Formats: sequence, structure tokens, C-alpha cells
Amino acid sequence: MKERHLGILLVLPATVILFSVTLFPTIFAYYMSVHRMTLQHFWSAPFVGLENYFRVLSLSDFWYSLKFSLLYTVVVTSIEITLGFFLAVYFDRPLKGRKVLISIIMLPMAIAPALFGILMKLMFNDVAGLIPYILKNLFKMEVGFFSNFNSAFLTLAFIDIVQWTPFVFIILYAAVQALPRAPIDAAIVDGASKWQLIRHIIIPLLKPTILIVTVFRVMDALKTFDTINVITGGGPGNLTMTLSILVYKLAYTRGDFGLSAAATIIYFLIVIVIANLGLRLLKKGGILA
Amino acid sequence: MSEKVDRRTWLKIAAGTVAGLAVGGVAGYLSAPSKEVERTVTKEITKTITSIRTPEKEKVTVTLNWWPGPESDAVTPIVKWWNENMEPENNIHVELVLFGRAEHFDKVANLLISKSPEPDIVFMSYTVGRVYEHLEPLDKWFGSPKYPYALEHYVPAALDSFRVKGTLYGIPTDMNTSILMYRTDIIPDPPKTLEEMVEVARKWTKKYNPDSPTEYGFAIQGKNIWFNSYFWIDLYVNQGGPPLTPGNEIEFAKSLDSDIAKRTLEIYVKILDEGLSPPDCVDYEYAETNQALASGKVAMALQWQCALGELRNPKNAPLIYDKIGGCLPPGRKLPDGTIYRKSEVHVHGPGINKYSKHKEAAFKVFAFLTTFRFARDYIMNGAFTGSQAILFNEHIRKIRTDIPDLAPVYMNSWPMTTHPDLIAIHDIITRNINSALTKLKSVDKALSDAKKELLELLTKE
Repeated sequence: MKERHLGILLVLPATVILFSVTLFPTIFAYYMSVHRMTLQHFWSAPFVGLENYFRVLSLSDFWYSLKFSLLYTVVVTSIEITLGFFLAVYFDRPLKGRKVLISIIMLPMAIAPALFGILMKLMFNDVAGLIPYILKNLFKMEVGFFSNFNSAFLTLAFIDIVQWTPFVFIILYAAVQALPRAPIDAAIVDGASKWQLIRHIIIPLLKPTILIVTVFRVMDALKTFDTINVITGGGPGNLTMTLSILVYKLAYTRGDFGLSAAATIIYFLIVIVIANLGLRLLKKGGILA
Repeated sequence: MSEKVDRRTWLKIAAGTVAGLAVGGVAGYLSAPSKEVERTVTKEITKTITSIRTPEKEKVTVTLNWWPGPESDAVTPIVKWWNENMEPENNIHVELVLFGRAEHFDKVANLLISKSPEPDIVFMSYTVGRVYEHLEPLDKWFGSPKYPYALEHYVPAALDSFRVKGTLYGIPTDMNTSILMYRTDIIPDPPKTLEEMVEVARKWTKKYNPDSPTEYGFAIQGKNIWFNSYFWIDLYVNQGGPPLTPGNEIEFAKSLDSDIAKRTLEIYVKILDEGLSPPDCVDYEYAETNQALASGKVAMALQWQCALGELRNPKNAPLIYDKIGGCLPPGRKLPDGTIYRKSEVHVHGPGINKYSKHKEAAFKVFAFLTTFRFARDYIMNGAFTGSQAILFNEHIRKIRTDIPDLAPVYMNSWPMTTHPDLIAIHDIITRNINSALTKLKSVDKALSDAKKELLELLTKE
């Protein structure tokens, strides 16, 4: 009994801190979402029930941002999983300088997303950026990387892929390293080609890990804020505005915390639905009980 | 003071008065403002510094929040000076508190609405309308005979930029305005009207003039970030639109579908469509525009005034530091032949936290911030000013070579609104301008949408 009490006492401070930075803001967000809470009426906000939720759902910006966030997530996640997988398989062999190469691949992931966004913004800057300079001087091409939706979307996706493929790679690489050798060796002995090996042996064996890392990346990509906010601010127009950026703008541009809190909760519910789908897939794949 | 003042304190006050007179004399030597400003400045130095030197009963630490960057770099030595020279006399220690530059004003707003007693003095901006209920109204403090002040030396529009419903909530230590920056080597006489600006831009665009040293004649700051609307608003007001001043927001919103507004936005879009501005300018804000000028890529741009000092520094802009000028944004010719040109002004500066536990001490520090001494040191340390006495000080004008260009801009300025929804107002305008620039909306639709959204915002309960 005494030991149990001691255990609880020891864990209590960390638990209190954790709850205060997670539970309290969550509860307060719900509170804000049912009040018309602005900077001017923060302490005297009137109760408005579900009005903020209906207002969010009636915003065309909300639906656009949802569509953009989903499109962005699907595109970057699928490319990152594919690239990360093939990199993991490629590095699963004796390679000269493998460790150094892996360290280089991991570098973008080590940089804070906002800082990485600033670095990439400079790289693509039409006046001082390296990439436009190379394109102009070697290929005689002038590209406006952020001047329209297509170029802005592709550039942002590229930046996300550069930063987060290493995350997928390192998880899948660890999984590849842990694969049992027997089925692979047997397939090689049976004359399987590299592609057959990947398709029929490695992918099925890696399926649980691929699913898990896909769920992680989908959650992360849906939440993308720092990089895109730093680079385009959601522009041109509102064309690259993710749901996170919309939530931020509702709070700090419109000064409407109630509306922003309602948008956050709707966003949270959407992410829960997607997370649940992911969990079902994992259960179906026998990865989770 | 209700308590008996001992001899030592009287000696200190006398010494402070003499020192104040000496400082006033030095200030008089350094400055050559108008007679009226000179009288006011000298008067406030002696009395205000005397009051400031009156010691607190116990040692007090006043937390002074400032904006990180050139502004905090400029105020840091002044805080050090205060702690070395004033603290031993008045028992007030000043502690400088800095947040991150990018989200500074949001952080200050959060602290104020959470009723935090610190910082005692907060660095505010023209978004004062959002948080004025959490700031100490300053008129009653400045009106006290204990702290005679010289607010007359501030640029009137700058001071008005810190008034909300007629009450003052801050002092403008930094004024901001937009100017037309231009290459003096190729544009010796900058354009005065909007039409002239377009023609000059065309002349210095390589597409139309292969001999042009610049690739583009103009750089639009088109990024979808709320303060980029200021540049278009300046052009619009100069073409005859109503200014977006405090109290005039609804009239401004109603005018957005006028012929003047359409014409101004059509010209803005035309600059991009005809290739007079870099295609990526829809993602330009301050830094990108500076780069475009510094690299010699563009000949002109509407830019914040602080860029002039930066680009005249040979380390920052070795290619163009000696050939960059600044003037009022282009305007329109009036029937009498004169040119109407003005620029908006908005400000940054300190205000007092309503929840501060050391208001008396904080106001002593605050009163010091209104003095000529502070203004002089602040600008000489690399920041800016809100004071006419500084703008027309010959000594400072020789050292800060941007001031002679900027002084006439400030003296022809109108105060930008301090409406509580200021950021939302500008966000609506910027978003729609950006949509017109990127062809997401036609000019007519962009302006009618902007008008509709603004009126909804401004007339909500």
C-alpha cells in the first residue's frame, strides 16, 4: 500500500503539469467555443450555444481549407511513404559511406519546421534564391514558385517531402533491418527478381510498420502550420491556407477566439475520424488487438 | 508629497534641477527646433526630470517590455543608462523584457487580457484598439502637474494613432509610414502621380526597355499578409478615396466599389499583368522587397520607411546604397494644378499596463520616455522617432540621412485607424487585393467582396 502511495506521489507532479498544459486548454477551448469571446469581450463573453459552430461551417474558407489540407495530406504522405520505403530498401545493403549518407538524409528532419520553412523560402526566392538562379542560368527558365496555386502547391509539397521523408525512411529502415532473413533468402534462392522480392516478400512483411508510419504522417500532415505559414502565409489569396492556418487567423487576425475554438474542435473531430479509420486498418491488419 | 521632505532629498531635487537645466542646455545646443518646440522641450526636461528623480520609498523594479530587433537594440543602452544614473536617485530599477519579434503583439495582447501585472510598461502598436481596455489611460497622468509633459513635440498624426475614442494610451516612439523608394541614379525626379509611376515603371522594365539596368520597374508587396494592404490604401486615398482614419471605417468600406477604388486596383493589377513587377511579388513582403531593391532587380517599390536607412547602409546594399531615395507615395493632380499626396502613419510605442502594481514608478519611467533626451538617444542608437523635434534637428539629420527624406512624408500624413478589428479590416482588404492580383477574382468582385465583408465586420453587434 505504502509503495503504491509513494508511486502515486512521485508521478503526481508530472501528471499535474501534463494535465495543466493539456486538459485545462482543452476544457477552456470547449468553453470558448460556446461563447462569443473576442479580445474586447474576453472576460464578459456572452454564451451563444452552438452559434460559433454553425458560423464556422458556413465559412467558405473553412471548406476550402479542409479540402486543401486533405489534398495536401494525401499528396505529401503518399510520396513520402513511397520514397521513404524505397530509400529504406536501398540502404539495406553494404554501401560505402552508408552511415554518413543516412546522417545527411536525416538533416532536414533535425531542423525546426518554421526554420526549415525560412531556409526553403530563401532557396526559392526569385531574387536571392539558389534554385531560381540555377534554373535561370543553366536552363534559361524563370519560374514563379509562389505566383499561382499550382506552383505554390508543388513547391510546398516538395518542401514537406524533403523534410519528412527522412522520418518515414528511418522508421522503415529500422523495420527492414529487423526483417527475418529466411523468407528473403529463400525467395532469392528460388530466383525471385528484386521487384518480386519487394512486392511479394518485403512489402507484406513491412505492412504493419508502413501502416503505422502512414497514420503518423497523415496526422502530422493534416496539422501542418509552421512551414506553410512562414512561406506563403496561406497565400496567394487563400489558396494554400490549411485548417491550422485558418484556426490561427480566426483567433489572431479576426480576434474571435470563440470562432477559432469552434473551428479547432471541428478540426479535432475530423482528425479523430481519420485516426479511427487508421486504427481500424491497423486492427484489420492484425497489428493492433 | 504629503510626507516631510528631508534636507538630503531637497539637495537631490536641487541637484536634479540643475542637472536638468544642464541637460536642457545641451539639448538646446544639439537641437534647432522651432521656438515653440524648443520652449516646450526645455520646460519638460527640467520639470519632468526633476519629478522623475524623486525617489520611491522602496526599491521598485519596473519591467519594460520592448520590441526585439532594432528597437530593443536602441533602447538597451538607454535602460543601462537609467539603471546606472537614475536608479541610485529614484530607487527605480528598469528591467528590459523581450518576447519574440514575430508574434510580439499577440503575446502582449494575451498577457494583457489575462490581467498579468507584468510587464509594467508594454510595447504596443497601432493595434492598440484591440487591447485599450487593458491599458492605463494616459491623459490623467500627463495632465498631472507632477509630470508636465511635452507631447506637442510629437507628430500630430502619430499621437492620434495612439488614441482610442479620443483617449491617449501610448506614445509614439516609432512611426511607420509607407514611402515610394526609387533609384535616384535612373529616376532623378520621382513620379508624383500614379500614372507617372506606371510610366516610369515601364521605362525601367527590361521587357520594354532592353537597356534598363533594372529588370523590373516596380515591386508590388503582394503577399497575403494583412499589413500589405497599407500600400494600396495609400494609393487609393491619394486618388481621392476616403482615408481609413479612426471613426471613418464605415465610410471607407462603403467607398470600396467606387470608380476610384476600381481604377486604383486596376492599375495595381496592370502593373503585374504587364510584367512591370516580378511574378513572385504576390509572395513579397518587407524582406523580399528590400532584396529586390538591394540587388538592383527593381527600380521602385512602395515600402516601409525603415527600409531607407537599411538600404543606405553600404553593408546591406553595396550595389545601391548611394542611389536610393524615398518620397511620398504618388498622388493625383488636383484641378488647381497642385498634386495631392499623403501617406498614412501608424505607430509603435509604450503604454502602461492597467494591471501593473507599480503604476507610479512605471509612469516616472514612462515620462522619461517622452523626453527629448530619450528620443535623441533612441534614434541615434538605430531606431526611429515620433518627434518633430527630432525630425528637424540639424545634427541628427546629418547623421541619419534618411530623415530629410522622411520628414516631409510624416508631416503630410494621416493616422491609420485604431479600430479594435483593425487587423481583420486589413486582412479582408489584403486578401481581396491578393485575389485580384492572382486572378482568383476580377477587380470588381474583389472590391465588392471586400466591401461586403468589411461592412459585415464593422456593423456586427
